[in-house]
Amino acid sequence: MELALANIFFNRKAKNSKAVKQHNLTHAEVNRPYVIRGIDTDDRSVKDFLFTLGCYEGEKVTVISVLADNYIIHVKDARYSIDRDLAKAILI
Amino acid sequence: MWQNIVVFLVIGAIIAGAVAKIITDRRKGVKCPGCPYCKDCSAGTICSLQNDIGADEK
Amino acid sequence: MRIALAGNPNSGKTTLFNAITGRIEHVGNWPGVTVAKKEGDVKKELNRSGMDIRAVDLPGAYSISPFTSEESITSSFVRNEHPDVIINTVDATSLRRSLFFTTQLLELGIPVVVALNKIDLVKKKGIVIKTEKLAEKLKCRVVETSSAHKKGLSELIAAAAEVCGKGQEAPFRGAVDLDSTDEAAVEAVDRERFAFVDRLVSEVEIRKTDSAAQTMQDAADRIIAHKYLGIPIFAVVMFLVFQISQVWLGPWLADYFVGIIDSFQGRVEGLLGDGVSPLLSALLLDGIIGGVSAVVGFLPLIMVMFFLLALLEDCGYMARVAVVMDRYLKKVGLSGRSIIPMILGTGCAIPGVMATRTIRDLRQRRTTAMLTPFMPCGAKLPVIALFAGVFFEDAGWVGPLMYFAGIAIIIIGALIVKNIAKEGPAKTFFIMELPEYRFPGIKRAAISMLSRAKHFIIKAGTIILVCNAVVHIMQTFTWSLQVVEEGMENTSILASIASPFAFLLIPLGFGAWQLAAAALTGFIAKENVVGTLAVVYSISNFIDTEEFVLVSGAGDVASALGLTSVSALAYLMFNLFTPPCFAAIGAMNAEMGSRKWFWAAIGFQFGMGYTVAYLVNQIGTLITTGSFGDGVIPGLLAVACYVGILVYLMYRKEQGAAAGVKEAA
Repeated sequence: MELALANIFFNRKAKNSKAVKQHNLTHAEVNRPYVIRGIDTDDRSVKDFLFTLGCYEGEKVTVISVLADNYIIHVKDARYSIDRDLAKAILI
Repeated sequence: MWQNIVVFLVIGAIIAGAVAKIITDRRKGVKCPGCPYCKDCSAGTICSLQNDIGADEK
Repeated sequence: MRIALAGNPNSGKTTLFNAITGRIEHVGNWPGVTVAKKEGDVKKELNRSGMDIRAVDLPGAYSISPFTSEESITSSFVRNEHPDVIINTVDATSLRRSLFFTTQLLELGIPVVVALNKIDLVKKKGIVIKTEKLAEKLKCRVVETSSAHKKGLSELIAAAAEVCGKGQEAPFRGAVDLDSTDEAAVEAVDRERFAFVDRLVSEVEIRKTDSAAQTMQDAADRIIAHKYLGIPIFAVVMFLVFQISQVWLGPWLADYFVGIIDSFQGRVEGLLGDGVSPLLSALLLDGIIGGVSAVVGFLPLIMVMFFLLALLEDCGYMARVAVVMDRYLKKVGLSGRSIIPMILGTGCAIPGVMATRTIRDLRQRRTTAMLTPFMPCGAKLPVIALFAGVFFEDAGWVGPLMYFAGIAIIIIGALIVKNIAKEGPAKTFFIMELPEYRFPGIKRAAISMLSRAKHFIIKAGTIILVCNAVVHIMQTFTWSLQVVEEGMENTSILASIASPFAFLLIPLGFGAWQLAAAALTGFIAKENVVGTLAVVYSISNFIDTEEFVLVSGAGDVASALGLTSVSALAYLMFNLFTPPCFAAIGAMNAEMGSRKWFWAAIGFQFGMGYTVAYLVNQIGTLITTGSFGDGVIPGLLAVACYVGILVYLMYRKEQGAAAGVKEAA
């Protein structure tokens, strides 16, 4: 019973992390608007900071271009350059 | 001889002026005389260049 | 009355500040706070209220809750210092983001005037903003401005004077006694706040084009900040900057300028006549005037360069360079933020080192503070210009080569430090708002150039003048205060101090005590290298290579200095890549906050400068003459020792490393 529960738990976790992998900004098509599903980071202040830029769940985000390892994104009528790690943290 | 004294005084005045300028600047808080950006270099934000790139960085 | 300028980064606050105050005086400095604010009196012609108005320029912030050190300055100022009025500069092209901060400011109860800035861009982009409706909704005055074009400024000041002393009603109010530790509640309020702003903006703004659409600028970015093209483009841009300032335009101006200086020196010489003691006239002519004019002679070259760099900064290119460089710095364990101190460091290492405060990770902060001085700063430019002119026929490639050598050393250095301090860095994020490209303001660049030139002259007239006089006196007298005899120059005070150092420099190809003395005075200020060389070799004119007035009788400066072009390059690199001037060293000490790191940084910089110069000299000599230069073995020993210590530190046992890190922390 316990084992089964654990199995379910692990499976779900595995599924979750897979989903996370597939749907962050690094997988976004250029020039197509997406809706942000969440911010996946352990760092509270990064999340809060992104929030003040208007980068939070439910907001629209568009990848304008990918330059070197930086992503140019468009959020709330402004353009930012963010790095790959941050792009990975933005789930769409 | 009087010429020597005059020249000596002139040199003394130039150097004293320079030293005085350095000292008064330091008192006023100019930490880096000749810093091309700003009088006091405490962080770049108040410098001209920072306004163009630094302040955009977050 | 005091007005605070607050707003998002890049919303044009500082441009506005400069426009309304005219010039920057009284720089306020808060003790203990990381980033400074700037204060100035509002120009009389803009201020019709009759009151004295002081404007305070605050660092940019996206929100009143501080996430970065710059933001905490802004929020603590508006909260604790009670400005009479807040002018909130809002980038009118991105209202949806900017008004978030505005609504927070409106809650403070201090009267707010919104400056709808960059209004000219709004019209260009086909956006219509109903300003009156916005004012009505926000319950505060809204003034359309364009600080870059100086429009709407007096209206803005008038509005600020009018609301002074009145209260402020908030159009949106979050829960008043919100527990700021309750994250969920805070977020919920902020979410509502954004929703409020969204509703507001959709009412007052009509956009004809979608701002998410691709523009010409995005296309340009794709090339300029391209993965592979980015660096070559940067190299070409830097080459052009040096080519124009050093080969095309600079010398032309410099020749004229040096002519004036020379005639001034001649006139002084004539004035002195024969009655003056040769000692005193030499001190005045060679020591003071000669040394200073050798440095000031480079002013035209440097002004052209300052001007071009200011244009580059103004047009938005440097932000793209930061994007290009970011990935390389990431790979060697630095933060993307490290690029900002380094770009600042090209002007002066001190603001560069101080800007490392914004880096959160301690190790990255220290590493960046340690490596920033390797970027050739403004004070090193005369040294570069001197060597490029004298030894490489004003080649435009010498300057960019020094910059790229600096970048290479930074990257190697970062790798080494990463391996020594094995502490894994906290994951850091890099986010930067990309400013739009714009046509660089010629006037702005000219003002920036003139202000830098002014500081350059002040520095030449103070520190460098004093140093040159001291150097001249020290080389004129022996320790027993006797005048040095002709042909016995080695007995002077200066020679005896510099000789032991010169001995160490033999493997680098420049063992003359004069060169060692110049390198030593370079630690006071790097321009001193030029000044001291001028004094010890009695050369007052480095620019006009055809009219050398040489006491030693050598045909040209190169042979007077006894350097081959290879050893000259080594000497140049030694001066650039050893520790910076004392002021910058002091800044490093302050930012590192650890004795151990500080001394390690100094040692690292010395070792690096020595190693680079050694390699350049010996390998270069081997290539040009077919055999190694003097002192190859002792030099090799020293370099091997240095590399050995680094390798030992990198590969020592994990345990030791952990202890070392703990100690350092």
